Amino acid sequence: MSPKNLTRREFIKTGSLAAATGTFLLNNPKSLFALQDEKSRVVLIRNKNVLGEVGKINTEVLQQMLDESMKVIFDTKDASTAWKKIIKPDDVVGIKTNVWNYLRTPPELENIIKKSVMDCGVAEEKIGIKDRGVLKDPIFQNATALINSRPMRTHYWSGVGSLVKNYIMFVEKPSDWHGDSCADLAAIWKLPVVANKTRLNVLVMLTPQFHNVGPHGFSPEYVWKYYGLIVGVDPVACDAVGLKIIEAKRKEYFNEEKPLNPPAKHIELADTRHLLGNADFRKIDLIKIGFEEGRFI
Amino acid sequence: MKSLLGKKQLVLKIFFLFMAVNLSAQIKNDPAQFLPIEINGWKAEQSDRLFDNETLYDYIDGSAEMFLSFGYSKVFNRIYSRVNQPDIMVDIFYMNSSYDAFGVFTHSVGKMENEFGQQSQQTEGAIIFWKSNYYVSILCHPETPESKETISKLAGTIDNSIIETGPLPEVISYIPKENLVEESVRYFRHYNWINSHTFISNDNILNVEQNTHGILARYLNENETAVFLLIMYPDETSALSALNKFVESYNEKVIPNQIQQSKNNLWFGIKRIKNFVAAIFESSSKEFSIKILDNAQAVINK
Repeated sequence: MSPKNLTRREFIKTGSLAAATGTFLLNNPKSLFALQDEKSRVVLIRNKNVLGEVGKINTEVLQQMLDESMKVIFDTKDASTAWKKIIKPDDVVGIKTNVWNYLRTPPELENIIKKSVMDCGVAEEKIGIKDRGVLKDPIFQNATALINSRPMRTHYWSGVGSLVKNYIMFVEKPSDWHGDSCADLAAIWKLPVVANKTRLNVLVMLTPQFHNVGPHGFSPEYVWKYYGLIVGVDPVACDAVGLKIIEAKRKEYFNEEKPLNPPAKHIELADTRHLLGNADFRKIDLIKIGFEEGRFI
Repeated sequence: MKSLLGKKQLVLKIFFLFMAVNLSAQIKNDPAQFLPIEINGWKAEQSDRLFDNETLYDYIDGSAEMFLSFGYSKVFNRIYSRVNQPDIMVDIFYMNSSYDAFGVFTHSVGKMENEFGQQSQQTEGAIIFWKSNYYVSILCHPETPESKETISKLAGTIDNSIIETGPLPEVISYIPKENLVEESVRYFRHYNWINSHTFISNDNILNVEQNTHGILARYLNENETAVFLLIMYPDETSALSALNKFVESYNEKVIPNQIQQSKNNLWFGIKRIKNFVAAIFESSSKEFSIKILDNAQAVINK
């Protein structure tokens, strides 16, 4: 299904169907997932010890960062309780990762998330970690819960590779969604395969990329150590925070206004056109944890 | 008899001349054929690959749109491998014209250098350049001293195999040269690229199509700065239509032919000059804006 075929009726219908079948949702406060109703809480956490000298990830520190984020997002005393708020033992959980060759979701983070899900009582065989091929994967086909995680980087056509964009693999022909510089990516989130299933978003800002070079869009020169994670229930709010950081880094590095081109308009439109979440910083409750130097926000 | 023999000889000479020119053109125009099978211990062990309009997305995902927004034909890919060294990936993009190769290049680099081709950039693990209608990318990641030396040799080989150079887009000849920051020039034929130096619009408010030729560039004179936009349309009617659409759609009130102060206290202005639309954005001074537009008008009217 391409955005051209997604009528307003289908848009509303898919949302209603998903809500009707999600019994888990009925047991949780509506405010947790009614992303635009109130301020979206987003955690930006940084810890310099998460990356070693040659960029190797310190798994223990990464775990601590995610744990701390979970406690703050869900207002609990420990991470385990936070996870149990969003994952039940009978869930089938898809962890939507991103395996772009040059800057992928760290396997260390994938494993931390997987273990956290298992600690909620979900059997290992009911957990899948995938990027390409999700549409053919039985876990993702039958998932009742999704965890969305990817690094943020610049992108030639959408401005940035974002959490909202990470679901493009849930459509048959991703290139169909490139029109108008990927303006309507958020509409993918209303499709039955993913609608209302996402429990958590983790935007990886350990080593984000702030500029594209060449046909593959990667150059180590334009990747920097930010040592961060951006965590939240609202993918749009998380993306908005990440985007602001990328834009600030570009201005610092190039020593001039260097707007993303094309602009990452799909993030704002995810809010204003598709009502997926909050891109407006007045509706984002941003909690910053960790050192301030080089934070940009 | 003599006359018939003479005619036959003439026909043969013309035939062989035609074949020589044709062959010569073929050899010149295929740099992929000059790539070595082995270089500095790296070997091309995998099959070469070709990707066209339909399959480019499978190869480079969303980056494909950048090439498709210009005139693109195909890309040749070869991977070189060597034990205990990173793979070296060579991509030769066959664009439809030097305009297209130049256009893609300007949007896909961080700085402009001259070591290879008509323009190039070398960064850690990468050499990118364009020459004639070819856009060339050579990558190795992570870079080692040996791989750095090898990609440089490969770049030289490809550069030398492309004998001809290609013209820059005609619209560039109309850019005023005074105070121009040359490496800031960006060429485009798709509205997606219109925000390269400053945000103008999310939408196609200047009717940018494949038959229009746009330029964005920065100007600098001591403390004065400005972003200059120039679009060449097929005719004056198209240019006027684009101007009118801009006036209707821009997010500030626009009075054509006037330099106005915007909400952020910088200056902007737009005018039509024959089949061109010229505009200034984010200018630090009214006088600087007027000067650039006047210079553009002088060049176009020459």
